[in-house]
Amino acid sequence: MSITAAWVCILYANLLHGQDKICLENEVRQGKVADISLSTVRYTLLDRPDQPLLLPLHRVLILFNSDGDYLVPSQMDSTNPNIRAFLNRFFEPSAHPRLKDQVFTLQHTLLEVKIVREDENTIYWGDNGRFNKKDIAAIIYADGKSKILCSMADAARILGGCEKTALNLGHAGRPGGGTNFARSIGVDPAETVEGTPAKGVETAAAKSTGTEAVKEVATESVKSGGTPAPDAGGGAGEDSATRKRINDLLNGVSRKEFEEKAEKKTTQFTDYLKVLCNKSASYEELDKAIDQAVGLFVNEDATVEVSSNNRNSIMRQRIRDYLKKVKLIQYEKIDVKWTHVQYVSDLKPGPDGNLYGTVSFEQEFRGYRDGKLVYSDVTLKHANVVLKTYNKTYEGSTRKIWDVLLSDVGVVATKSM
Amino acid sequence: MKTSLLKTFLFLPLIFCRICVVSAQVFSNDAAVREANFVTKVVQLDEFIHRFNNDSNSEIRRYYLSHDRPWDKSREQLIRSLFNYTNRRWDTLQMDSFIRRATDPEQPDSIAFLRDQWYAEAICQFLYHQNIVKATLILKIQLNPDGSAQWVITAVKPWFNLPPLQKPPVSAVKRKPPLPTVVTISTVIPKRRFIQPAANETYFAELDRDFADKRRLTDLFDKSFFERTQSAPFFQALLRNRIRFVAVAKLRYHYLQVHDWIFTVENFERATRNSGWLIASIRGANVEERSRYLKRLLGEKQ
Repeated sequence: MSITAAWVCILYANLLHGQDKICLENEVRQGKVADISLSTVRYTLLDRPDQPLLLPLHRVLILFNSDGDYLVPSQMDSTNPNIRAFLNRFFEPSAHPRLKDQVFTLQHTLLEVKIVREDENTIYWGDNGRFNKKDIAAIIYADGKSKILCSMADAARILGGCEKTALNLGHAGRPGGGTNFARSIGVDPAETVEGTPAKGVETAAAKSTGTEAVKEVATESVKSGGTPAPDAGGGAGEDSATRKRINDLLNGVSRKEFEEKAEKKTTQFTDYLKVLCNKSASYEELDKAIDQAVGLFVNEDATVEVSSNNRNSIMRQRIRDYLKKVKLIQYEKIDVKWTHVQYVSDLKPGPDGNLYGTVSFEQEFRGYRDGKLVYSDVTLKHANVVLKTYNKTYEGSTRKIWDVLLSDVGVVATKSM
Repeated sequence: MKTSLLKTFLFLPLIFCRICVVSAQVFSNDAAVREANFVTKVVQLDEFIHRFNNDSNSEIRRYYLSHDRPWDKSREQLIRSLFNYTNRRWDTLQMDSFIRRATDPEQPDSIAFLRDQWYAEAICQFLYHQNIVKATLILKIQLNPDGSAQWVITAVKPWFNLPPLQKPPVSAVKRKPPLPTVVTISTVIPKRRFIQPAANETYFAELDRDFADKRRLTDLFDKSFFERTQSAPFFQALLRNRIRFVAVAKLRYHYLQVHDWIFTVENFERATRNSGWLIASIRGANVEERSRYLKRLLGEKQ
């Protein structure tokens, strides 16, 4: 009986070794992965090889192939033009024979050792090396087997964040081959301003795949240098992935709703500018107006660029600095008139999951001192706007909320009156 | 208000008249005239695209309809209104031929923002050795596999001489220590920097921030950028802070989305109805000519 059991164990272990591993949040599925797309994983289970199954990619935390190479979909850069190539590497035979086992610790370090023995609590390697298993997130053995020793989500974070192992297929090479190029011309991106090394830059990243990235660049460039004929048919132009992305990000927000909110934000911004120009406002009111106006923007890095009609003179300031300057110009009375029309551009999906657009409007400004008109102009303002959506959980239910924030503003002084 | 709107309506149709030259108009303080100018002015590139295609969501069409005016403009009339007439005379035969091609009932050509075959040419000012110098950046929209979009810099043409590239001595490379066996895994998911897809409407003002982030500088460039001859010295100068971005002084778009034609679009900022983003040039171009044009634009060898 015990001999039979031992044979079954050995046979099963061998079968498992030839298999891929699909790690979900609370479950590991052994099987054969047939295809990975940007949204799904197609696979068959070990005991049902004739029944293809489909899983949404976002449910998969880690995917191991039989060589121990892995993908962590949540930490892959979905904007990388090479993402499909990275996914396909999962099916290629391992290009890096390994002699050592790789131990990923909960302290976010990677140890490369040859494990000679392990028991319930500890792993051991030569010269009395040992490590407590409770501090280990995952082990990938030299023969391709793998073991997760913490929660799957933590393991995914640690494995996915590790760019220093060739096993991580999702980080092999930087997008565009730029890093490789920079190195090839003798510029290390780890260096920033002359002589100052950048902190935390991982200089070993992409080392193993440099030649492949260069090859991809060459192939692509031949394609793009070919026939420059436009799309046949001349349809709307946006591909279905972009349209789907925009609709997903809008999540039911209509163009009208977006326009109304964008216009409201630009109006509020102008209202705060009016307060800042008001001579009778107290210091507290002025400072409060600056804080509130800055609150309309995505962050304090947003800029206001003031330019002349022909862009011969251009002045750009960060939003808070701009507002502080406006505070110094004070009039007894100001008069701001709007044209009745605002241009609101289409929304475009950014790689960060936000939608970007522009609101343009014309304004007439008049400033009075001692009852006299002392300054007036007409300006054309273009404000970049960002539509952000958030998930808000309240009493167990999750609701999607959205807001429009201002970003960089261009002010064109069209005419001094 | 009613009088003002009435005046507006009286002025609006003028832009659609088929005229070759519109004399420059002086600035007017009349609110109705200004509003008419603003409505007909092509304020954004998106509006240019909408009018070129006669899309239902062009602002001018929406303005008409919201003021109970019938929208009866043809696409041909709209495209004609998109030419810069104020300081340029056009070959009417060439213009007719271009419009016929774009509006061909069998195979009309529309243009689109989120599509390839168009480029932004940004003439930028940089600070170099305490002097303002110029360099032309060629940018294009990159459509990512996840459906998102971003601007990427695909070529550079500096108007000034940058010192040749200095490669580090080989001995310095060799002296680098080998990788340690135990390495630290970054706990931070690397964030990518990108030029957001609507940045063109503010003349890429964000490049000031983008170029300052040296660690993610490569994210801003298209991979073909790194194959071009002028790229290396420019990239190195940016990375090592030898040049600093000041502003985009001029912006021009190159469209190759209409079969057999190339046209450029520029911003004509003036207080007339024929203003804003307008067609500055057109030229017929077969496949070879388009290829040559593109090479010249991107600073590649012919």
